[in-house]
Amino acid sequence: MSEPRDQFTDDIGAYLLGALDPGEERAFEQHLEGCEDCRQEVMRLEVARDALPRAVDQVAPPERLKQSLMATVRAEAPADSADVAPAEPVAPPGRLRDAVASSRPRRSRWRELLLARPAFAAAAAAVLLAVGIALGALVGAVGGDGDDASTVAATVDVTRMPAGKASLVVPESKDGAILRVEGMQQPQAGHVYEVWIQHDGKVTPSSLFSVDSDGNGTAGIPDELRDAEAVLVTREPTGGSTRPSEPPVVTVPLSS
Amino acid sequence: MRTADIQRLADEEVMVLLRDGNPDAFEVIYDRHGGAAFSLAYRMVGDRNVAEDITQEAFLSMWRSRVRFDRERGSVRAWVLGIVHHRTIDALRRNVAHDRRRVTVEGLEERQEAPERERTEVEVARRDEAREVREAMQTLPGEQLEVVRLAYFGGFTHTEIAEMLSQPIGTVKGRMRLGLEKMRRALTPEEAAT
Repeated sequence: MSEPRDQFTDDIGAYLLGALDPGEERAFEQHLEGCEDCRQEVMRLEVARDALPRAVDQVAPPERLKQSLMATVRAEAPADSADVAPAEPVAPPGRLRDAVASSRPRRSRWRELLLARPAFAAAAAAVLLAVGIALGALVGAVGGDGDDASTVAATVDVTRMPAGKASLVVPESKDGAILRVEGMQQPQAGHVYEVWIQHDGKVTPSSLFSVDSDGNGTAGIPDELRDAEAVLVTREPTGGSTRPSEPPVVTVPLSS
Repeated sequence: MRTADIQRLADEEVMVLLRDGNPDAFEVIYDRHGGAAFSLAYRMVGDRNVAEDITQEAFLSMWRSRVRFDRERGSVRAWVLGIVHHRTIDALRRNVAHDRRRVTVEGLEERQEAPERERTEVEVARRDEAREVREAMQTLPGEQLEVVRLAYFGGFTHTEIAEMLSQPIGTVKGRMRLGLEKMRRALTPEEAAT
């Protein structure tokens, strides 16, 4: 084959390995759109790049990861998709129970690093006052399958999320929950929403989630909430943080 | 279509169902590739909880932007792992930059955890596949293998690698491309011979 001859040729390997800086990567991709030689070279070498992750020893992911994912996916699935339960205002109790039944709070060095954040708790309280929205309340209960679930309204900081709404679906057992948000802003590039559980004024990280183009999203929360004071949401860098970077944009007060 | 039926479909056919918002299709894709995705993230970050969060975020992004899968550009597995790789690099560059400065190539190798118990024939097959790829990697000269590892598994940019190794950037970029070229030949000997 003919060798590509331009200033971007040397970048092909670095591009495939993810080793270009973001600006260089954008420039290279723009170049690719108009350079057939480089496109062919990238496609030719992709077989090597794609093989690299296969060299990694396989480590089983925790079961709770699948449970959390499926709880979110089923909650977001369109009503007419195959084998999906009819749409309901809250998560189907049976599925909710399945999603959280065997979940346990994470206990890891990563999580244990989290320290008490009294300033964060104070900021959360300030937000509640500032936005002047009524505290969340138990607004409904859904029966079925012997495991009632309640929907708790959330307080959203309207100064940062003017159209935001959120609610938390909590089973009677409080073995977990599903958080639903609407009208939230897209986190800036490289950021996600992170859920936090507040106990005794301290917060611990829980799930990560993002929202669709309409600002709607759902997060499965595998943590036990029996003694929790609140469920909070902040915007954090991709991969999540060990402690909140900002006052919560969503606050769901819970009564123990 | 029931899950049992979906499980008999090829990845690309499952993706058609997933594109229509079928959660069972999503579950099948996760069952097939979630382990590889988690393993790659764990290999790169060395922390199970961070790897779990990255994998969760990556799969949710696939669910929510599933129309982006282009079957003309490769396998579903490569697509999934590409997304995970990108997100892991983002996390590495953003959150643990200071720790990463201490990482050496040896350190990267040590991040690998002994595999957990084998459960299925699929896992056995993947271990064989892993051995084949590692053998291909071992055909690379040491300086090429080093930059490939630092870039792909360490998440370092070519500039960072050049600084670490006290080598010109052009040399590092050249080694990356030559390393991939040599790996391609080792993995596709018939094609390389033509």
